[in-house]
Amino acid sequence: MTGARALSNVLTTRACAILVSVGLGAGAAALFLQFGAADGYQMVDGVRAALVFVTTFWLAWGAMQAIAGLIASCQAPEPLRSPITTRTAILMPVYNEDPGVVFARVAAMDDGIALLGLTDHFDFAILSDTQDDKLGAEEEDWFVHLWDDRAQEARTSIGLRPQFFYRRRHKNTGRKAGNIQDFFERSGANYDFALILDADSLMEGSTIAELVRRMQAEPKLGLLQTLPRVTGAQSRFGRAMQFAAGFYSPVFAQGQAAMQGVAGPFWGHNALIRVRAFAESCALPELSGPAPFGGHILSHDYVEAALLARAGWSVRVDPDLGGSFEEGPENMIDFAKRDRRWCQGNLQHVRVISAPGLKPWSRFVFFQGILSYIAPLFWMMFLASNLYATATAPETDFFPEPFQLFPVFPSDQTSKAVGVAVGVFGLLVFPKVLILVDAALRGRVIQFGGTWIALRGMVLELVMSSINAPIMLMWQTRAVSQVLMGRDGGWPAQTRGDGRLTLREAFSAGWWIQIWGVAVIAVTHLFAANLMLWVLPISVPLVIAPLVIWATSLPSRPPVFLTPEEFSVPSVIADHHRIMGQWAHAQAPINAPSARLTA
Amino acid sequence: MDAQMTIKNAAVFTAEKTDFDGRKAAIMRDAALPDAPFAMPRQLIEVSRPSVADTLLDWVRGFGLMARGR
Repeated sequence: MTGARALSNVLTTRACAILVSVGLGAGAAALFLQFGAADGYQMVDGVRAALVFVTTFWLAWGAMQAIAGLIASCQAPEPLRSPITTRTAILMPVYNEDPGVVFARVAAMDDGIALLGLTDHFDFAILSDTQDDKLGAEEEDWFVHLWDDRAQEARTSIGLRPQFFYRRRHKNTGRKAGNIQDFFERSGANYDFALILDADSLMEGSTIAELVRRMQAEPKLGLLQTLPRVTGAQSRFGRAMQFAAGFYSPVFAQGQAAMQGVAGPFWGHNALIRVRAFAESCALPELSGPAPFGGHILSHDYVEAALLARAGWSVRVDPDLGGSFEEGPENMIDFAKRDRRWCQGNLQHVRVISAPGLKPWSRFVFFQGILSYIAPLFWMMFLASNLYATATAPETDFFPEPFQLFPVFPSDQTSKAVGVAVGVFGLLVFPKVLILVDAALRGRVIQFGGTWIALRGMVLELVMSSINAPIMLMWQTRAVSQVLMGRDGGWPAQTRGDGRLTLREAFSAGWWIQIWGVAVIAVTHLFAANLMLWVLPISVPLVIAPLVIWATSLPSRPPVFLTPEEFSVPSVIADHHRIMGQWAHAQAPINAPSARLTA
Repeated sequence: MDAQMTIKNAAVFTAEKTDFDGRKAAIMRDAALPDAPFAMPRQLIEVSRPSVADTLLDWVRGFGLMARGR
């Protein structure tokens, strides 16, 4: 496809998606206004209609991404066969992680690359920001283990450079972005490309090689992002998310790719970057003022993608690339903790959105990120405004004119509100149904255990996410409020493990949500009893929040939520398990505990 | 006897640990990041925009200068 044609396609897709989303939002708002103003127009009716517009637009925008993805999805291109002529650093940033498990991932990826005979083109650099000295010492012990396991002594003894590097910063200035920048400022000139990973990332050797070949083939490509598949989940919550990410995300990502064109995303890891492009255009400044809006940029990846695009480099996501993996949170509490960090990072983009020279689409991406965290507030306001409108609705006046002989019955506009509710539900479910149909037609559904098992997973995930959504809404609302009040959430290390919670832990995380649930039911009962049926699907999950948090953290087993990686374990994941098993049984490094290394 | 063995084991462990620590230090030196710096110029994100108060102050100053014929 020529550049002009590709640009025209991107612009058409964007225009259609925005027009349809705005149209659906406006239609829903108009219907709701007719319903609300049936007993006479009040200010609150206008507010409700505006809130319906924003929330419906947001849902429609998500649905349009799925539809664009279904339209744009095509056969994955053949892998490139060109020789690799460049040098790539594979960067594994580490921050208070279990070093044995993380270094086993490095070894597994090295095995994948070695199998292709490409070892000479790749180096691994473990970039530690671990602030705990005891854990830091453990990392060094495990690095010695990795060094021996990868026979580096044999290389250095004959004068060859090692292929594994380790560096620990005693002060994690600039967090992950600062960690990566520190690497480029010390060693960047040695490499053409850098593959940026997270501590829980795994990538197949063939995927890494394909990324490099695609980057070599396009000199203007500054960043190539893969779509990492979530793997290794063991809990109900984790496996439901893993299923949803595996089943729906490729289509949504395809839709994003179709809309973003060359101003694509960077999700912070599992992406290849061109060192020169990144070094020349991505050194982030500290924002003026204190956190949460000032200081270091938390969600640096979106900003780096925007800066690359500003400098004229292409940033692209290739969802067709398989063999890219990450892990996800195992329970709702860990999800909420991560979301708190992302919330602060996205809201901080208010300070970045007006940066000079950014492409309009990059600004829109920042706007989307901000809206995704503010949208729950609109839902809360919508709920509150409906309770208020119902509580303050005027008494029905059957004889509005003096000396009127016959009563005038107010026109019943309830069907319009029901229509909006059905439409909103449709926007949530319809894309998922379309994706299921598409997966069945293309045969992708076989990797998920067949149509019926996939359908069962889809329905269960829908039920689970409907129950979880009001609880998440409360956490998101709290997160946004905290950020707006100037509270910095810091940078907590990620929690790994099976994520199983006790009822006590679930209660201590969710008791305040219960109180809100009871309050919503009480207020509805007192002031707007006829709305009770509408409010119960939101308030009941709130009242039983600790139970939901606990129950969703319990273990889950296939076939429900079966994913392709469970159906057939990818070689890099199998290698990771094998290496962890070997390391656990071999003599552990002299100072390091080996208890956590179980395959 | 037991005490002697414990002392001997402790001595062996200490010697092994010393060896390990020495080797670890050598490996850490070999595994230090290569020295090949790539400069990263700091990017411009925030443009200093004058506040309303600053703008007003500038206008007043300008008016004053003009009034005094400068």
